[in-house]
Amino acid sequence: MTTTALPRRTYLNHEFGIKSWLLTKDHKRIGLLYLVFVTLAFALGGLFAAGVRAELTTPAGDLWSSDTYNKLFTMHGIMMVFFVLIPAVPAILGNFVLPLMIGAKDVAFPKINLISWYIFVIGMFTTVSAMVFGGVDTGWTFYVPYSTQASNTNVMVTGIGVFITGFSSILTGVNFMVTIHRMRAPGMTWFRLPLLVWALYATSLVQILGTPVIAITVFMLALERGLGFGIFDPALGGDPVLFQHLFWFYSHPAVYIMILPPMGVISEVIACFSRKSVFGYSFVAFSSLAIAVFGFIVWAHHLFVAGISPYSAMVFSFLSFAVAIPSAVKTFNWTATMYKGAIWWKSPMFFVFGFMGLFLVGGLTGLFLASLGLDVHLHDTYFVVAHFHYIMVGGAIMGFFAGLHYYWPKITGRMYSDTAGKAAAVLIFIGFNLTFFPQFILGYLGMPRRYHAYPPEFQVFNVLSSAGATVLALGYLLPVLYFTYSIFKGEAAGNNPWGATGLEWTTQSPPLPENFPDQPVVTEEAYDYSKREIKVA
Amino acid sequence: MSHISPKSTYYAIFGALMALTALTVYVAFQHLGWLNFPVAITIALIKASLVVLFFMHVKYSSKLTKLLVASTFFFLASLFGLTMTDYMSRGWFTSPRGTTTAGMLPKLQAAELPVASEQALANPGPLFEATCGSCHSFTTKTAPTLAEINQLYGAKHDIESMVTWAKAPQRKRMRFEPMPSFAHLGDARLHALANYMLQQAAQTPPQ
Amino acid sequence: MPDALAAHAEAHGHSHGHAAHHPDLQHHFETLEQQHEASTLGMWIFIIQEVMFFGGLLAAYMLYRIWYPTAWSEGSAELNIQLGGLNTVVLIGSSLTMALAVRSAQTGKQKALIGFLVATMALGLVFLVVKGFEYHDKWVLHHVPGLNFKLEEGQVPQIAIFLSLYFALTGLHALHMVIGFGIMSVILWMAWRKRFNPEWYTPVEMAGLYWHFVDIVWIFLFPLLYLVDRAHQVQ
Repeated sequence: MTTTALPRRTYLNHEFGIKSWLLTKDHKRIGLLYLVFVTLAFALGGLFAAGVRAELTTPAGDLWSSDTYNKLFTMHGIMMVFFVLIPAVPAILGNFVLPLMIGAKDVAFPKINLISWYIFVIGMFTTVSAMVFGGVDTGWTFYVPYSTQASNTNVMVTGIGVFITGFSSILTGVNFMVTIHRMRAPGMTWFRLPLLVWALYATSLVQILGTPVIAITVFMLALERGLGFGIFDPALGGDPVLFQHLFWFYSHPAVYIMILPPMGVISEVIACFSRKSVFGYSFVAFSSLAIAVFGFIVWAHHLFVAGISPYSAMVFSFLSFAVAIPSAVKTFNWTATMYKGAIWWKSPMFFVFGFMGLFLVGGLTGLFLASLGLDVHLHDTYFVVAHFHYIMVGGAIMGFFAGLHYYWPKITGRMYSDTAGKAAAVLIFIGFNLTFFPQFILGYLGMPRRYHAYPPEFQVFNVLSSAGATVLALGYLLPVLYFTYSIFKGEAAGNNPWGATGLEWTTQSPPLPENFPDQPVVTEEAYDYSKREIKVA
Repeated sequence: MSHISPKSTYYAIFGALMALTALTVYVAFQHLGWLNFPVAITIALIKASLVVLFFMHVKYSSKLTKLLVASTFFFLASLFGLTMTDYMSRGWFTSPRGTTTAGMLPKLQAAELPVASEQALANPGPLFEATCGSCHSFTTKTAPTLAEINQLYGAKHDIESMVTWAKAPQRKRMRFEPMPSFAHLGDARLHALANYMLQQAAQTPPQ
Repeated sequence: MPDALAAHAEAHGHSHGHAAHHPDLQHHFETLEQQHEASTLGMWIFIIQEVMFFGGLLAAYMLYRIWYPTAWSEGSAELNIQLGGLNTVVLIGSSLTMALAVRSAQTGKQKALIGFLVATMALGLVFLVVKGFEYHDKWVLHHVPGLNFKLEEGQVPQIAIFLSLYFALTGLHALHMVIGFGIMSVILWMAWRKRFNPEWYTPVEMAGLYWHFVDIVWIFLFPLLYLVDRAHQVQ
């Protein structure tokens, strides 16, 4: 391998100074701006989780008061859902890599892209200030009438923060959709697109159609709490369950916003590190769209025990089973991609394997919960908590890390220590399972969620879980260290350190400000690993 | 670049919109029963379509734009439609035990319960907690509180009215779920319970 | 690439070999047509998102209208159908003037463009003023839930839900009109500065799409709020 030098002119060094970052219209710089704040949000959310797990090491509620505990799990949920999981892959990796993947110079609306970031920061600042000045204790789900009539914490300010942040998500979705429709390079037909682009497209659909509904729901909550309007008030004959319908109409599709882009990343990484085209490309592409559409019609599975009609519950239960099918299609296709491929064991692939195992468990346990009879027993227990953490952390965050490890050389032009990356992947996998697998058992045994004290017979599993959380935290700390180190001391990556297909790997690392020196023209199918010799340059 | 509509088109559409507005007001005052609402919505949809097609130029826009506009209805429809599957079917079939907590009580005949023992009648506390207390306490919000019941019946110690009500409750307060009948408990128990409730209310200082 | 050329290219946002282009073409697009299509698509997607936004309130409206027909009938009777009808006419009129404004931009008629934009804004202002009078009436009659609401003799308490939704829907709509007014001010200023020509008038068109959308929302709100069960009130 020849030693490569860093390129002379890149998007990182062609302009200097804080203004060139804060007023940038370059999608690559905006992606990095998101990375900074999402990382901060992850740290804060992790801190709240640490508070929760510390309390749960002992059965008695002796570390925090119950009020404080309520605030801790609420704020953990809010930080992680709105400021980490929703933006992580789309706003960071998607922003960076989408125009490169389709051969465009930038997204369709670069100024709006920057505004999206500012909206995100303002929303995060607003929400965090609500947390700092008294906190919020309604659960991230803000159910009425507690949130409108009884809670005496900063519900309004948090609601405003969430409302603002929603627009960041919407505008990113608008930007990506228009970019994908109108800015593909010549020859880049829909079915030559990398699957990450399909995933981002499907995600954008969900962001655009779903986020406004939570915006209006939070708006109604604010009207009821702030002005005393009666829309959900039972004393007037209002229905608190209506709030739940409207809330989950967004919040269920939101989980598909969180998982679709990481799934797209998995497709990219699996193809590259199996040296094989993704098996059943069109099935995987259409399954992304199917997940987006189906994801909109299953929301009331969160309301199974809230008092909705059993007939409606049956419909939603059936649909919830159906939505698992496209995800299963993807899982089969990924496995088939690896079969008879030449597996190249690098860090991104480690995270992919972590994803496969954990997403499988998370997805299957979702089917348990989709089953009406089981959900009556499992609702509001730790089984649910374990299920969604397997999907969110085991699935989405693992996928995000796979993408980060895959694209880091492209983003920074530097290689990181692969050994350190593998160690982090293993540590995270072990820590994760130790944290969350006991929670399946706890839930099955009946331990309720959102309780700060529990019967002593549950202590063993809780201690295992808290111990696992410590290991997990260490695992997440490692990338901060070796990625930072790589920025200063990492070996230059060159255009294509992984020998991957895709337009993004044909340009220099880090890329030019305008991405491509000349307009690329696409003549090959996606993931053409078999047809030509891939040069690891 | 884009299609330029003649001014006459815009004026014609405006005229149509004015006419449809007048029509919708006129129809609103006609006795069409349940049809009033669908007719009003249909007229509104026609007006909206005219604005979309001609003022917003969708008639002359790309296929993609047309597809997007049409697909909005699909998603709005799923929000409305699937939410309504819950609300429209809530009262459809009530199992013999009903779906509300009160309705879960077995519908026993008075003869099916054994005669109340003297001891049970003298000490109706546990029966009260099991049967009435979840709805009628001092702090419950699902039914009149004990304090309110005391206000209604306590002044004249009107046990008879309370028993009559418990056997055949009317519904005077729309914000509460209907109270089921407790006739199956039998007169003896009902008297004891009524006495107990007034006693409890009298003993407890006002909250 | 020689350093001097590179500096020149960076300063002017052109990379080496790029021909001079239309001043309104942003450099990440290849043609004006692509840019215009992107803008139009983006604006439509935004409008679709706004439809879903109002959709949540309409879902609540739909549920409670089915549950409480009496409250809806009584609540609607409390609204002033003349003012509501007037506002409908005014707003549809402003859509007409807006469409004509876009047409003026398309045909290069600068003065007509400014005139129609001003007319649109004026009609929008009339709408908001009339709405202000309606809200004032509601306040005086103690029909504002949460703030000064008093249930009248013979009315069902759920009328408060109708009124809550009335204020939420029309208030949100009015907020969108105020934002639209702001957008129009910017467009008017740009038109005054002769920024628009038949080759590039995209902001006028986009502002028009937004304005028409706000009109469409009112086209639905008027019958949904003002025309409920009116037949039974005319004996």
